[in-house]
Amino acid sequence: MTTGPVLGPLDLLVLQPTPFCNIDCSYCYLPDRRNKNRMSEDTLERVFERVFASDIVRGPFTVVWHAGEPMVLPPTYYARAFAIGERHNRGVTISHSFQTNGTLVDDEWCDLIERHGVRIGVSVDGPGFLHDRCRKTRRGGGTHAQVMQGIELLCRRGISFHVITVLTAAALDYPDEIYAFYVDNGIQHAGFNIEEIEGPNVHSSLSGTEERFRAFLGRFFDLVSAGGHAVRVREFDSTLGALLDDSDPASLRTHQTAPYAIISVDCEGNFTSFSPELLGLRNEQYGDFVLGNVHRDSFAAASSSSAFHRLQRDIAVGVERCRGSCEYFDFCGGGAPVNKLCENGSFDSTETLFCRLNRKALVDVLLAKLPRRAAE
Amino acid sequence: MNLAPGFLLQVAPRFHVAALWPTRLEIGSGIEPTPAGFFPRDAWRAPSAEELDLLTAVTSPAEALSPSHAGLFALPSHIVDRWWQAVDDEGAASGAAFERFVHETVDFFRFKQMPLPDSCSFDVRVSRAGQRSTRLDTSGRFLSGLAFADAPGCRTVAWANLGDEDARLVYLNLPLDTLRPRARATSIAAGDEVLARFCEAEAEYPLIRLRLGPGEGLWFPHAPIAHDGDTQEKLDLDAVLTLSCADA
Repeated sequence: MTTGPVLGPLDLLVLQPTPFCNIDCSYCYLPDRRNKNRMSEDTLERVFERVFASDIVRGPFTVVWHAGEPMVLPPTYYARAFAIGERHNRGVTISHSFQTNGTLVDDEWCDLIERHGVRIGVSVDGPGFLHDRCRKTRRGGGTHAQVMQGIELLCRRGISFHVITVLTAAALDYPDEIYAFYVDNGIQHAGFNIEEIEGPNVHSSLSGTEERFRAFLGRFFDLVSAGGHAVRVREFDSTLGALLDDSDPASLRTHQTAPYAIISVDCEGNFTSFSPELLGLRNEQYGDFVLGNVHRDSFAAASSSSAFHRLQRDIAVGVERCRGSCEYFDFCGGGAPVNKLCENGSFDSTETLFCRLNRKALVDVLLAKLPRRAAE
Repeated sequence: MNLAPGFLLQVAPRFHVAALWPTRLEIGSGIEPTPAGFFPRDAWRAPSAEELDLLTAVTSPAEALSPSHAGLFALPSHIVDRWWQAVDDEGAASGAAFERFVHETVDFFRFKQMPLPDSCSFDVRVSRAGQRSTRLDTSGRFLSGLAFADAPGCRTVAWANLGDEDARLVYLNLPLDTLRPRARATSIAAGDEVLARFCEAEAEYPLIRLRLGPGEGLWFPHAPIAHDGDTQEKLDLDAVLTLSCADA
């Protein structure tokens, strides 16, 4: 008797309502962001039908509406989409989350967010002089002023939100300015993403900046501590939790290596698993990474395909190589497959820029701060 | 009298401050010697293109601020707020809250790789609006005008506006070592003596007035610079942080 890999449990369902984005960030990994297609209600029906018909839903999960700007579609679209999800729901708690560029937030959006308890993540790269370097309109203009209107409205409406700030090399000289930006604008929850080498973004300005990156993290941590942790930084909280609280460092481990812990569905119903960014990429070995389509394939059926097995096997081999060679494995779990593929050309590989900065540098910097923190 | 080449202003490396020199800089109409000290004459005008070239450097992505240049910088709001918090907590520039402000400011400048001396003092001077000088004589009762530093044997390292209105720094663009030959002073003459001789001999020489927004400051070149504050255009109290060190 042979047993396949354990599938799920589903943690994150990434739905692409449309690949279209109304802005044109220079570091974006999405290859198709001028495409105005949208996920139809029929596709939404099939997505939730497939999800709840599968045995990968074993507890609460989050639906992230992303991979294009979700707010280019109207709030009424999501009201219907949420209703479809609930119609198929078997009593599981589903949390909906938008990762948005924030330029389109208005009162109607706020009404929807409040009514459905949607979690909001706004992408803003700090003060305007940093944000507008990369987050631009198609005509090359800055988008910061529009984003700030959205953030101000969320604050005025008392809607809790977090921000995602993409760190580029230019940002590393400005931890104080970014921190002041958060404090001055009522931003209490932030996450740092690094500029990754993914898809069309074949170079990262962060390559070769590890010392500066560590200095940035150290300085930012000092600022957060001096400010009484009024600003919570996702990376600090999760890493410190694992370092300080004797909790299982597995909480930091990526879900991107576990089959069907993450499922990403594009607007046509094509789906994949592992790293969400794989959907939309093309590769000589793996093609388009599509494992199936909700209109014809169940998740279980797709998991028995050769494409799934190959993907799962190669990712697992890469994880084992990390386990055998990296002392940070407990804080990571084997890295992000998409980064390995885009940086090293293979899932069956180990260290990436993402590992060096987002795991190793972070753990090192916080470990160095711990004695001081304990003394305080 | 025309401006002579002196030290240059630039935006300090690793700071994002809009230079906007034509709107920041004003050219004075000379120096008014008085028994109390040397003050700028009242008339100020916008600089010409040639004068801007003499006063400012083309910004370059230099790794470090040149010792011969002055660097425009900006303190982030959380550091400025820490000063006002110290005032609220302690009512004066002393005590634990002020020390915390100092430590955080030092950490900030260190991160920015500014050329902090091994040892320097932090002073905050609060002045009334409407004054043409913010420096007081030894009696503490009278304005004393231009000087190289606030205390003998010291050199000003940086000057920063902690208030919420624009502040104005008046300065002579010729550092002490450039003034000596013009003032026909010996190499051992004290700075104040050199300045006095220069101001008396060249009273038509234009002083410069630099506008600094809330939180903005100027990192001085290594050579001592004669300077003073000017609160004539303010509505509220002027609060200026001065970093100074022993003059080697």
